[in-house]
Amino acid sequence: MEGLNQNERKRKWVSNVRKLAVIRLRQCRKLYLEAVLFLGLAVVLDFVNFFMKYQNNFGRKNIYGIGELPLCAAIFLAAVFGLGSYNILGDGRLSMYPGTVASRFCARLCSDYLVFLGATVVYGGFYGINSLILHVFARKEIYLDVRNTFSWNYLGAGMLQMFCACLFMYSLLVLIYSFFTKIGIVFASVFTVAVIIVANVLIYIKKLNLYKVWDLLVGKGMALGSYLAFLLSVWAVFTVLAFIIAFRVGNYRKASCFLLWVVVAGVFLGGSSCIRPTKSVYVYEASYFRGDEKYLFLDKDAKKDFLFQYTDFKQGKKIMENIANGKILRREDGDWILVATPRVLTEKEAKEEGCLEEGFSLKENQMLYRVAASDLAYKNRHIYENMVKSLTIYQEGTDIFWERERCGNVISSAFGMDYEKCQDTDYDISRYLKRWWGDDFQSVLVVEDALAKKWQQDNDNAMY
Amino acid sequence: MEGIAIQLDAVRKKYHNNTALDGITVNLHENCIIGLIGANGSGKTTLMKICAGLEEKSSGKVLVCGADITKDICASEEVIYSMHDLPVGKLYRISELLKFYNTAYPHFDLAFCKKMLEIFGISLKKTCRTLSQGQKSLVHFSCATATRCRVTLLDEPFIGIDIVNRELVYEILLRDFMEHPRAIIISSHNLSEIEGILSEMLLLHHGRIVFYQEMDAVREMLFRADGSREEIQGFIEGKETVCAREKEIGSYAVFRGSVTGEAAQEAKAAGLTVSAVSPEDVSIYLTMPEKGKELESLWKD
Repeated sequence: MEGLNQNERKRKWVSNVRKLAVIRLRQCRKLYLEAVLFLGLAVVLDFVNFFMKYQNNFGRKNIYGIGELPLCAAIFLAAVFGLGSYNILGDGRLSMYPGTVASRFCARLCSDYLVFLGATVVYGGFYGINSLILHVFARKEIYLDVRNTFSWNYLGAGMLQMFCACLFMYSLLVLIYSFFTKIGIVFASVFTVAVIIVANVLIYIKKLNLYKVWDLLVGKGMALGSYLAFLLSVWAVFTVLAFIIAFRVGNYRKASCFLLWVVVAGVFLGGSSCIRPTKSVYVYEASYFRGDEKYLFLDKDAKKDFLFQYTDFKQGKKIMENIANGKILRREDGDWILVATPRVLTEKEAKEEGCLEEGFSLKENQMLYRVAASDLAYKNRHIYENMVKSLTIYQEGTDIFWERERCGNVISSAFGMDYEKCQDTDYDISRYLKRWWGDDFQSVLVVEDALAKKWQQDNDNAMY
Repeated sequence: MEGIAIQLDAVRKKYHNNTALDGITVNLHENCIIGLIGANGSGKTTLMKICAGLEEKSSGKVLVCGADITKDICASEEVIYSMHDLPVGKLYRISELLKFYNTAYPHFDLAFCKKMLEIFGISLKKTCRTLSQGQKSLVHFSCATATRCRVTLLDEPFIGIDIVNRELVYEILLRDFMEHPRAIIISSHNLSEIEGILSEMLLLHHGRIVFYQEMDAVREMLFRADGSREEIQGFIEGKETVCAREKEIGSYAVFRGSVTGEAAQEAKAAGLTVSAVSPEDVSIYLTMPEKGKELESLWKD
């Protein structure tokens, strides 16, 4: 034993960690298979749910990726693997093979991290398969918009978030277990009771809002980069602390898995009875248009103009009526544009009402459709502004169509792009806007005086 | 450290209020088969687990192959602890278990292990949960032997094995030891069967070492003198005995010393029948509790 130098010892240590990790991975492979099947089942059930809703004609027409059931399944599996770390120091199936406290600890961490990585890849794989099936299905169902079903950006962001969240949760549990092994079962029980009491005092007396804690944990309102940085830094600190404790404990003890369940149940069940959510964090609180509308279209940046050309009165009339009736549809699924029905004004009226700049003048056979929204920011995200900016409305003959383009994305911000410039509109919509937002978008159609008069005459004649 | 496989210095182990090991100090030799003998609860398993780094000592110092096994990977790879029922997981096939051993131990002889299991008639395709107790013992014994570790700790390895296979096991163990000399430490209650393969014996009682001797010395350690009650009473007066039984029928006394020694000759001269004490009986006489009166109470109201 004495003959090895420092480098050889290091190599030996690394080799031992690798061997133990391989053994651990092999030992648990049936568990991994069950986990994948469980995740697959969740995806299948999600599909069944989706198709049932679709068949009953009240389901989503515009699909944004994987459903919530597989996500819940993934979180559940991460929790199961995390809670399985209670024997990180005393796993008899691993400690019967050669190794030291440190190498067994590290091997266990490595193998469990690999499992999380595998779970992340599987989750991403299911996302891809899910999208593929929906795309195939959408070929027959022309009213199904699946353009937003798959995105490499979302895939990357989702997988990164899932992996880092698993690391975070696992490190927290490992730290608690290591701490429990250090202090022993009696003190661990006392600690558990103390945590429950302190948590409930905070919840009841200090009115601690658990939603805020949850928001912090899931990174609500944070850029992906900041969220990942938060998760990884906490993970690093917790893991180092757990390692130091484990190394000091220096033997192969098990902590009580039951006690941790008691902590979690005690805090959350105790707290759930007194939480009174004052305001939903999901509702975007901008409601600009309920105020003074007079200078709305001029003062705000969140506006976009669309010019339409017509050749004769007949075509102009049709376009005007389509827009005035709000018949602006998305080509793929026939969805109506989510903008309040426009007021139709002449150029002069529009200028008087402050909807049009004084210097603006329509060319011959031209009409202007202006869409505007609040530019207020919610959690630094100018969602409405981005929605307006990403909107495109175009004409094909007398038909008017709309579509929305993707903007930058949260991944871009994680890698240094100016965050203000890389808002992800679709992501924001799915994340923040959970109520009907159409009323918060106003629009105005400005037409030539000649067209308006002729249209009026035409209508009067038709009435008599 | 040449010649010493395991060095124990004032090793203590306490489980709450119960002292399992009470200041064990001993140097266990390399290249010999050592029998670790003692009654139930004498601390054999605890001692083995501490030596294997599977149990934490309360105090003291343990060096295995000259190193602290809890910190030195190389030393750790040179030690195997095996028992009749290891926590290997019930769902694995034996072939998988062999792969685990092959991955973990640098000197594991896979072919040797497979051959041994073939001799015992155990299929590699079987899962661990389908094995009988004896087959489990055979599998763990085969794996432990094939690791060729410098320190092989076998804790009650022969439980459940039938007599035919036990004979095979003893033969394999002895032959493999001759091919690959190393320290093999066996704890067993069946000392009469294994004493033929042991080279040394360590007797534990209540967490303390009674003796650690070569087998020849153990065989010469005590002698027994049988006679009538009066003869025994007359002979033991003023002498130090290990134990004595003075009854109408079957009175005897056990003394320290060889059957060929002076004390034995003296007993012979006093008309007593002198006989050697086997290692198994040595361990009984030296650790036998005084429970005669308690036994009698079983049949009294």
